[in-house]
Amino acid sequence: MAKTILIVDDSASLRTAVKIALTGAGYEVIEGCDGRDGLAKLDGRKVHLVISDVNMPNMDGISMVQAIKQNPAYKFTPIIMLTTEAGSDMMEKGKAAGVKAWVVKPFKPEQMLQAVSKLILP
Amino acid sequence: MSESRFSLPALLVPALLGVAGATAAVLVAGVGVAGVLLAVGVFAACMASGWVAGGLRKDETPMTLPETMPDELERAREYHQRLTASLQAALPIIERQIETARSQAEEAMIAMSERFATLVGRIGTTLEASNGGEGGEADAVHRAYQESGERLEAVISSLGDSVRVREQMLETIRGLHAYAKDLKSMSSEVSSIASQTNLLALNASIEAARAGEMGRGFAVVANEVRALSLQSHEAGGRISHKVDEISEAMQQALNMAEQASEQEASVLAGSETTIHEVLERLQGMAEGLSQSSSVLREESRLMRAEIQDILVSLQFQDRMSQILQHAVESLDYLRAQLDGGDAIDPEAILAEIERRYTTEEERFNHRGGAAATSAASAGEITFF
Repeated sequence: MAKTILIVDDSASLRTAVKIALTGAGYEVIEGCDGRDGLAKLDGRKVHLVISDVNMPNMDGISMVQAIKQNPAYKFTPIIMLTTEAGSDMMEKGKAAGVKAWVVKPFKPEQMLQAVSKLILP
Repeated sequence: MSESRFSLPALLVPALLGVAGATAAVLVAGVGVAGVLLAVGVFAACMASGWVAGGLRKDETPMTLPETMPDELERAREYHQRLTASLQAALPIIERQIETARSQAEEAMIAMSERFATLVGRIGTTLEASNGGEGGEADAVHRAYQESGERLEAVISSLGDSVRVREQMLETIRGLHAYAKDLKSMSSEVSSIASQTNLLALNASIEAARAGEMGRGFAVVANEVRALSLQSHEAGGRISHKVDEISEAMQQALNMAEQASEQEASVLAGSETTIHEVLERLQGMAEGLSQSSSVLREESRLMRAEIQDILVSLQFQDRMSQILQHAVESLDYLRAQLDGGDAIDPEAILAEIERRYTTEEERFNHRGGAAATSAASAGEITFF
């Protein structure tokens, strides 16, 4: 059975690019357009990994990660941040929130797939 | 108030130029917002030149005007008011222009991404349809070829069996022909025995005649034996004749059967050759189809990979959108600060503008080209 990955980004074109890269490798993808929508998508369904942007309207990525880690059903779900942010301060915030990997946009599909396969839950 | 600070234009020039520079860095890709950026740049340049025309350079901030120069002070206040009014009027327009360009580019990019995604999906469907695995077209042709080959081989084998059965039958007939020779030999023996018996009966008749009255009875027997020997001889002759006829008929049948067998073998060999030729041609076609299918699959795979690469390249839109968004927010923030009057703090404003940045290009441009410090570069993955 295909593993499910949640992509949260306010850019629809970027979500599409990530989606195509992941579905091409056999993953099932669900999408969220911001942090709040991303949290809403975690409605009890099995999600094996989350990929999220940092800067988004309504709720930013770091706040979403903090909220996910408060949810017992998803606290162990690995999270990859995919963002234009490359500053060490922001990366430290992500690390403190429980992020497992930090990818700076623009991403390369093969590297993203490598990170996904390394972190995704069995 | 004895002094007046004219820091805003000096602040605006680098800030606006920074916005234009940062945005232009991303818009090299050709999105049609260059006009807006040009407007921002020109506007900034006008402000800068206006300030220079007023007698001050942009790097002379803050500037203090002495009370002893009331005319200069008044001119400067009027200039400040006009400048503030101009900026209040122009900044929202520029913001809207940038926002329009940003949203148009985003909409176009989303539509393009969706179309590319559809293309990738269609290519995937084509790949599945022409897949060499179970149910594939090339595979079906290959299986049909194999099945046809097996069935035609079975037909050839049956024909071969039929020829072999006929050969066995011919062998049997040849064996019967040999028996016919034996029969003829036996019938000759019968004729010979009959001749000798006839001779013996003749001698017996002579001896019976010599015996006179005593041999009369024996003479009758001798005559009967002689008559029987003659009948035996005739029977032997008829048998021999019939054997000859049968032998001749057998020979004719053998000849005809051998001729038919030769023809059959020839037809069989011809059929075998034709069938093998047809099968080879079919095999060639099946292999050609399979090869074409492989090429199609490879081309589709490459095309899919290309489209995926294009989609990845389109990520520039996300960066551009963010930079333009920050430019709009910065302009909006600047406009709000215009009402601040003396409270305007250039450093605080620049810090606020910088706070919004999320990309290295923005920070780079903000610092006038100085390299920004970043913990990771584009495409790099950092694991925690």
